Amino acid sequence: MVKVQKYQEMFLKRIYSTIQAWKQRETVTNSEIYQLLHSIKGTAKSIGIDELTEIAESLIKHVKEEGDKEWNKKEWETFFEPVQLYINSHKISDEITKEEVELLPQPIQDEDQPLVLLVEDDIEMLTHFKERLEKEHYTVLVATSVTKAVRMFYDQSPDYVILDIFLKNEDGFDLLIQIIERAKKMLIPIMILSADDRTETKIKAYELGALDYVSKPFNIDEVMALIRNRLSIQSLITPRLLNDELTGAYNRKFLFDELERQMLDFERRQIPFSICLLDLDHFKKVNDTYGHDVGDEVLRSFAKIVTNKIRKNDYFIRYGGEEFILLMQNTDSQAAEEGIKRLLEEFASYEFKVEEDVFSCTFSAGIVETATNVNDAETLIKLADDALYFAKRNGRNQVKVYDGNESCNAKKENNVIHIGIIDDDTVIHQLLMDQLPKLTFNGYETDVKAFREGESFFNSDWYKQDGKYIILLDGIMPRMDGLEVLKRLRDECPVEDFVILMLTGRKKDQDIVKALELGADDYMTKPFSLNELVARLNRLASRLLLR
Amino acid sequence: MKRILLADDEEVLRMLIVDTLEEEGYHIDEAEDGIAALKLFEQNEYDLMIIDYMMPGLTGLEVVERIKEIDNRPIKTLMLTAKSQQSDKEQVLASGVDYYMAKPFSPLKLAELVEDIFNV
Repeated sequence: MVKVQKYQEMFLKRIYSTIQAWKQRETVTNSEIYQLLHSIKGTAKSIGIDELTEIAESLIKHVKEEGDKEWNKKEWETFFEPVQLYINSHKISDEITKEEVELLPQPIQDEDQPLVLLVEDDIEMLTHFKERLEKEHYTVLVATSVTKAVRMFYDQSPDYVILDIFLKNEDGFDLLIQIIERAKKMLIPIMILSADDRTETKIKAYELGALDYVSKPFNIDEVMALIRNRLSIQSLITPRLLNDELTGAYNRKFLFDELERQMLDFERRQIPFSICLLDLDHFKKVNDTYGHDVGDEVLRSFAKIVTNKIRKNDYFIRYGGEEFILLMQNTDSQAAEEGIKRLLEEFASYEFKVEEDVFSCTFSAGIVETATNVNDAETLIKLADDALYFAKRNGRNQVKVYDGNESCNAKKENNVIHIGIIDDDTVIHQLLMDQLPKLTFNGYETDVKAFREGESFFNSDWYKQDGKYIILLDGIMPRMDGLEVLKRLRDECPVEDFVILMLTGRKKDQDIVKALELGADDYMTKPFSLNELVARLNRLASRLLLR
Repeated sequence: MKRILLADDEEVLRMLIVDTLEEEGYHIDEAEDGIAALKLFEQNEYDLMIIDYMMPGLTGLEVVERIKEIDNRPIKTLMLTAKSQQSDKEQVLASGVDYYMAKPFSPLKLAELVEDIFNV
């Protein structure tokens, strides 16, 4: 009788590629899903994959019920999970050639399983290792050459890299050098495999930044334990360094690094990416009406809703108090706009409950797509901000794609923005008093006044006049501490008219979180450049005018 | 040597059936849909047609009908049907199909059935 193994592989490959093709699309029709399941049902058992038949049979019942439905990605991916899991755990045969390995559609990534990039061109070692890794619930990407490995590393962001130094025609160290900067930033552990046991090689590997060096032959159980260990440590550290404590979103530190990388990549490859600036509407009102705990909960829920909808290579970053940035790779502004529209709907329909009350919240968004005439991150963000401003003025709860017309809509009334500086640092005083009065923000002129500490500020009448204010407040001062001043400012002054920017030398997240909790709109850590400050003030001024 | 015409849109299944039956000493031509099957039918002589019930474009039943129109050559037909379509069994047999086999099937059983068909 015939050997069914080759049919099994072929068949599973075919299902793979169908699913991969679906992943490139927004939706899948009900009839496509039905057809795939029907075909599995009809063929799998004949070639010996009974389990898959049963899975298809139980799934197909639900498909008939749904009729003409269009399935979105999250829906069908969840639905097809049992099929995908089955395919992931299937063994590759020993006869597979190098070409076939690379042609194998890359495994469907289960978001909860760590993603391992395995760079090895010894087929036996590769398949053996891959099988074992998958058995222990890792998703494995395979590359047999440096070029492919580099591309995969940057496109798929693996959580762990296993690299054989001695590839047949190439030097594995080449790869290490190309990925190490980013690996360090993202804290991705790199394990070197090598038949070479010499000390010099080990030293070279460590100096280049590899975390572990394993000589062949090795004990697979030991290596698996080591991988587990490294990944668990990494999962503890990463959130603390890269993520915002409250929302789990990445923080600004990460943002600018990532933006830089994306822009370089864009220069080289001309693949568009989009930046979306998201700002919760009337958020101050939520905090004032229900308290900061509820405000935090709103932020957390917002972050969760967004992160559930975005793709693996999209980045969600907390940019300010209630401001976030969504970085979308390989996405033009039109696609980004569609995505944001869906988010708008979903968030607006989400209900928050506080005892007897039920309320919902909305956000506004501005989108800008990379273009060849914009060279730096700040400008890009400023353009997104202009678009956001437009969305706010146009009624909120909407998204606007930057198209060059927004700045013309800025108000040009003959009004003034008051900028108050509360900081005991003489250098800052001089610098700001020198530079700020010369600037205009959004067409408004400035009235700048500096105070050495909180007391003299509150004793003056300067802040009591009607008007819009931006307060630059130092976190650490003698006598009245910055946080105390902040609290008093929030108690005394109308929230819609006062925007507070904390200047802090503290790098401790706790204090920053505290300041945001007490009502600071934004913070900047010293030292900062004047340009940075001006850019920030611009944005705060826009916000002020929107309230 | 007996000649068989096979029509099924599932590539892997075709491979399986071709390999299975060639091992038994039959000659098989494959078609991936109804139109291709009809073309082959016009060009060559066959003793048996194995055809899938559900295919894109022309369905298995439609192909069987057309065959009867083209020629009254004594070709036997074996239809592969999905289990859920058992209820159509009567319709299948009524429209002139001689044999049917439900999917999924064991290749062994298929080979046995084909042997029985040729021994009648």
